[in-house]
Amino acid sequence: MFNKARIVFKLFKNSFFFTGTLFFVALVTVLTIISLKDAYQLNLNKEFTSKQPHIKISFVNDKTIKNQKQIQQEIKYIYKQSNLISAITPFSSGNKFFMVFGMKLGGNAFYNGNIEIIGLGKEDMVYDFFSSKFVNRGEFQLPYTPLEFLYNFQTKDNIMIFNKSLFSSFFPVLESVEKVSFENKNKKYSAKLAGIFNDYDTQPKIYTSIQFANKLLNKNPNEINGYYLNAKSLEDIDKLTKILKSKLDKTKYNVSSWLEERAKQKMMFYIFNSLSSLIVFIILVLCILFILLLLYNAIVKKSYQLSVLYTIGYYLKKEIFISIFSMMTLFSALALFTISKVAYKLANMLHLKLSNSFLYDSLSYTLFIDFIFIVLIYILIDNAYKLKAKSVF
Amino acid sequence: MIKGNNLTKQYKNEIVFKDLNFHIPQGKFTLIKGPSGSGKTTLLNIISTIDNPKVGKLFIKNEEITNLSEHQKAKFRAKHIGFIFQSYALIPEFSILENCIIPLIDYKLSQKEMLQKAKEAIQQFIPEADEQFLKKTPTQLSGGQQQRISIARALIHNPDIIIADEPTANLDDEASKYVKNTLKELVEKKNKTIIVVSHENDYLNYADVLYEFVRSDENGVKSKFLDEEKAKEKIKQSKKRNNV
Repeated sequence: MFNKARIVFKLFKNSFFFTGTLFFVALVTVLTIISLKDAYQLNLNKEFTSKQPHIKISFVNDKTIKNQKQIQQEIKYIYKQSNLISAITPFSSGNKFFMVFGMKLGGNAFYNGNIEIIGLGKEDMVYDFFSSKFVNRGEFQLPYTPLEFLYNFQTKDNIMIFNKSLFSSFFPVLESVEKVSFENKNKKYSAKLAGIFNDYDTQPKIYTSIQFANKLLNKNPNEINGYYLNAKSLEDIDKLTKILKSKLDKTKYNVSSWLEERAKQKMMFYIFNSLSSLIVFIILVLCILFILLLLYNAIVKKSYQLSVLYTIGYYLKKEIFISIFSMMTLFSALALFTISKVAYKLANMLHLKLSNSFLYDSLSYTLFIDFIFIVLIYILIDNAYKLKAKSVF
Repeated sequence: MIKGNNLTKQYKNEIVFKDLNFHIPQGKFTLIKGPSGSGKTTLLNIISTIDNPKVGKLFIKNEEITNLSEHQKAKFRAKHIGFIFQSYALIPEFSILENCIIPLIDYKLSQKEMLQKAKEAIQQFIPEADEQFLKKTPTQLSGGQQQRISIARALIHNPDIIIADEPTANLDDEASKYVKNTLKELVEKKNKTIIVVSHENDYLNYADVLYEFVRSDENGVKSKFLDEEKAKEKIKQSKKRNNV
């Protein structure tokens, strides 16, 4: 049927197809980048927040907290008021020099020297560590651990687990009562969990029970140096630190947060977030500008034909707009279909997990991009027409 | 048919014409003449409803056109006016047949009816046009053939007014004569209102009404129309001289 839509199609089919293909490629690229960025951010955020966020309270002058009851009362009062604390853990810490304390981590890491020993206790009044998510983390990288060494280092019944996969975040330790068994080279080891050796940081740390730590450090069995407070979420840490700093006596207690210690990681997280958003924004703006320029050029190229049609009484603004809109809708749908197939494969290749709402997010981004395009295209067609579609006389 | 009341057109500091009054009667051949840059095309754009005067009113078929929106004006043009251009203004991407169909789009006709009408219109001006010819694009035709197709396109939707801008400027004598006679026939046989803008004196032999732009005496105003009586006399003299 020969109608206005067909006129527009005949005049612009090549430019629209070319622009549409570019729009499709740009949309798939932008959506892929956004999806992978979101997935990476999500994974990073999960990794970051999965560390139990905590605040450390230690005694200022004397390394041993003498009046345990008083500070416990104070913390419990803050806990009840703020509702931001999920657990309170007493700790005892110190450094011990080991002449030979080495292990192969993938065959290349040996420690010989000072190791920080952190003993962690359980505060029954507030939190039950046995229900901690730590028990089910399943992130022990045992195949890389020379269990024989550990087995000999520990007493016969106890075992130390290496933590090489995580940062030196806070771990509530099971108090040498959890039974564990591991298999290595067809040899089965049964033991009690004595602690976790953190071999990831520059300063190696052993997390263990207060009693075992104090024994290694030659301290009194029940001596403690402070408290670890678990915040309910990472976002609460700053708020909680502020509250504690204002409520606790500064002359007696030092308050420092896990986030303060992790400032560098936090900064990198924010830098990644801002930088990736900026890159996506720049790519998006460039794509939009380039495609708009192509469309404008397509209209300018056909200005004579449009002028002829305009003079004889055919105003094709609406039809051009509808054609571009239809083209965009079609290529957007194609882009969404493609991204739904490609993004999962790419994410798998990069060992990332796309968010559950990935398709919904992609649809939202597409609608947003389409909306911007439509508004700009309307303005563009209007202006191109005003400038270019003139009398042929 | 077409009435201009006190039309003034001004571009920045230049007044092209001021308080221009004219009446283009129905079923007559009207010639608008004048030297280059005198305002012929400007007036043509106003009569064609493409441009608006700065001051004044334009009436076509007793309807005030100056008040209509761009969209309404376009619709008006599509329905009531047929255009013939100096450069033929055929769309190179379309076949000859498609070029002729364009003015029929807004009429509720079937595809078959449109094709039939277009074929008849083309064959009226190029009797030898067969299926193969109709598929050709404008660039494959001679200037004379393109202008005939252009006339066919201008007439296909049976408009009351035909506006022709230098329709024979690019044609040889034979083709030129053919176009002029065709336009005259449209007046005489089909009672169409023909408006031709041209600087060719030969059109005086075909015209019933003449509006000729001459230099204006008024300060700052470029052009004005030649007196009506003088214009009539000019047509008369020309026809007498050429035995028309």
